[in-house]
Amino acid sequence: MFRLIDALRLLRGAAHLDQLLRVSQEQLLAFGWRADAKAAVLLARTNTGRWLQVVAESPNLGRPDVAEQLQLPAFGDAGFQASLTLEPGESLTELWLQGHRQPLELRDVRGLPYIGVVDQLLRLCQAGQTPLERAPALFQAGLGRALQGLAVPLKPQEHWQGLIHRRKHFGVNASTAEITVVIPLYRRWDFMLGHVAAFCQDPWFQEQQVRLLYVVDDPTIETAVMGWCRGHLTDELLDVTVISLQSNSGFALACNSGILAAETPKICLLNSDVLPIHSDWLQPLLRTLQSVPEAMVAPLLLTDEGQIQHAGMVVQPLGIGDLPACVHSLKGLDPAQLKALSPDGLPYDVDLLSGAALMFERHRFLEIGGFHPVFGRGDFEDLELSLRWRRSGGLLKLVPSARLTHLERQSITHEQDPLTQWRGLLNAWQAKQLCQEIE
Amino acid sequence: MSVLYVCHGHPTFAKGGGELAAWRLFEAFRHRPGFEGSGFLAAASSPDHLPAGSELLGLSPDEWLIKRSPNPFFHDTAVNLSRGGQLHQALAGRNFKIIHFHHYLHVGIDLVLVLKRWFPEAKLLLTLHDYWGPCAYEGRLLRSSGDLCGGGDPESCDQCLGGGRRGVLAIRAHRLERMLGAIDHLISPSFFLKQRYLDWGIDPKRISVIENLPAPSSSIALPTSDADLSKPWNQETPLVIGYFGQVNPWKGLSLLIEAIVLLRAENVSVKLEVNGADAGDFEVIPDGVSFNGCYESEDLPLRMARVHVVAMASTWYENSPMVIQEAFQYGKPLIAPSLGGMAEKIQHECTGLLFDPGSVNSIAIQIKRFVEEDHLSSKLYDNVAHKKTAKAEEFDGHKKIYDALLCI
Repeated sequence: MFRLIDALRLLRGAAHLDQLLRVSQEQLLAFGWRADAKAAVLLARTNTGRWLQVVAESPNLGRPDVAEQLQLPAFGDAGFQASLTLEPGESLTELWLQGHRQPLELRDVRGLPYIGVVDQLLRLCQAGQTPLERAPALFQAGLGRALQGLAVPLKPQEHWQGLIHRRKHFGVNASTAEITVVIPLYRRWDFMLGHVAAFCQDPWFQEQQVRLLYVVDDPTIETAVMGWCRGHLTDELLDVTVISLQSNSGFALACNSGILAAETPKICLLNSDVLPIHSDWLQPLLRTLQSVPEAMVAPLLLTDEGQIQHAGMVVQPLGIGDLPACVHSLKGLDPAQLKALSPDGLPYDVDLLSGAALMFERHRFLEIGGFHPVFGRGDFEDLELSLRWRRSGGLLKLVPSARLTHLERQSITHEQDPLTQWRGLLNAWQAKQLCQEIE
Repeated sequence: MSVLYVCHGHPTFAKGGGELAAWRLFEAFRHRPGFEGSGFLAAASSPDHLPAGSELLGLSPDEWLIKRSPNPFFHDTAVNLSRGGQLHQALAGRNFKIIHFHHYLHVGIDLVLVLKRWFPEAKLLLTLHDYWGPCAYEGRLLRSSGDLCGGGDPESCDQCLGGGRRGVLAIRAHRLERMLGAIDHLISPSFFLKQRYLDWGIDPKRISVIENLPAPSSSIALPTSDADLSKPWNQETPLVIGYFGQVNPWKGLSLLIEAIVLLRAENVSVKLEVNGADAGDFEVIPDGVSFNGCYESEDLPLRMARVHVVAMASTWYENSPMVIQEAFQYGKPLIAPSLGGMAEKIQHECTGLLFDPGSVNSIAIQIKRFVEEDHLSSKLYDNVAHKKTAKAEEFDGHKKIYDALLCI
């Protein structure tokens, strides 16, 4: 074995291991670079004396920095990702990369904030330097499975409960309310001003048939949100609860925590950038849900200029590997064109629903496990939930007479930076893994 | 029936038309039997006007200044609105039956809502002084490009605001809708402004048109020592045109100056006196143009006496400019753009002359007509003199609205 190590060192030249991460009891992820075009070979010895050889087979990672340092301009793809699998109870004692012995600086990422780990792994994939087309194969080669493992502890309701570190109530007590409108907040909280203005004019809220629950999924805005609520909601005739999470946990977990914290039998989940158009939107949603309790129902979402933004979604190929894309049906069209699908304006079945605005029975959502936490910051969690909902025997219904405005992507950054693109691809990959229905 | 007037500024510190309109109503009503206990609450123009660390200052037992909202977009209120806070303490024990807002700018929408809560039996009235409802940009229905606008289109509003503001525009719209829902009645000083709000979606039954209260007649008399200053114009003397008011890009003063230059080049005997700015504000001052600097209301009789005709050249619609009322009070015809509130308040060839908005040539043509056309100037003077003596109905109009609101 040591002869192999020597040979590798002589033949393969310089190499360096940047990160060695423990992502589960059995799986380690290694990221680094080597100065030739041949595969990166990792040799490891474990505490049981077992030798382990891993040849990095996933696509190379872009490393223009290495090419510049080594003055090898043609070799910009020096980076690699490798996955090492250990036996139960095993640990590494020695490690060589291309024959060069590497210090065993193992970082355990288990238990660290999940969305931070996602970003860290994507950065190690050199998001922005590595072509997007390589992403599916990189995820397949170990990263995707690693994240699925890291998301497992986030799935129990006890975890969602534990994320909540503060809970405040403002306004009146709508003790007989049947619905809670749950709205997660991240970065921008000024939409609350719009919600409160709109809901205060809504008879359903005025008559205390509805509660409002905000989930502050962003510690940087917690003080401002709580301060505003204290100053402006104390005397309002709204029942408002604000829960804040210990750390930014991502859309899926923020929603799950909020829905778990809500106490009414029915939940209306709204993105923060969804605002009512008129005060008649809740009734058709509730009526549909009452007649089909196993359904997850959604309103028609319009842009602020009145065109269709969301009337259900379908899956189409993204064009990168076999990854899926969610396409909003009829997006950009005049709402009158819905007559083709629903001539009488009645609710109709759709393939998928956007997570931007949904109403459902709370117990069903909790029973099927809520949004899957593997989706981190967000995207594709609604596709996966929609399919899981249907798999569990539920229906997905679009209610065209319930209309709200969705100021799409106003609540998050406009910039499609490389990391955001990679997060989207990762979530598309996860959705594909979790949903056999996606062809 | 005590009335609380709520205004975006106090005329002691800010001399805008809206502030003066609110203050004149307060002054007119507070001493009337039945209106005892009326108050005036205004946003401070500067934090320096408030005691250090305070959000509120009592200027008198019935006048309060509050901290001004820094956000002219969401129109939030900058003072603590909780019960027991400074403002609540200041107003506690009052029994306002009418709360008459003049603007929500600077005082904020939250104040409207909280006053409704603190005085649940009071009726809320709002006088609209400009176009902040349909125009989120600067409330003038004037685009950032300088073009006039119909207002209310999110795409256009977003462009004026620099892009990426669709979200806040929607929030703002909901806040305004809620506030307007809390208001019992609206007053527009012009039909033009009323129509813009109707186009924006306000129910026509909710808006009455009542002109702002003019300055009391006692304040417009020229001191007897200066009485000979105010002589009617005759063609023997140069025509002195007066510009009155703030000087800013949308007031169009530069257009007026260009027209004066054009006319003087044609040997038309005309001069322009600018009241409201100093010469130092301008790089080049052409012959025939003089700057008299800023003025207080008590200076107005003398300043008006020095001019034969008053001119405006605003490039936005205006609403009901106070200078028009003032010109009529002093018997001066006006030369103004055929635009918005100005075209409504000035009758062409009757109480003034209207020109094509933004056109220097058109301004020059109308001034030249005033100077050269037989009988035109005398006709205008006669008509304005008649208007001057007409009975002002503004006070009664407001009183009727107050009475009607209390009967609801």
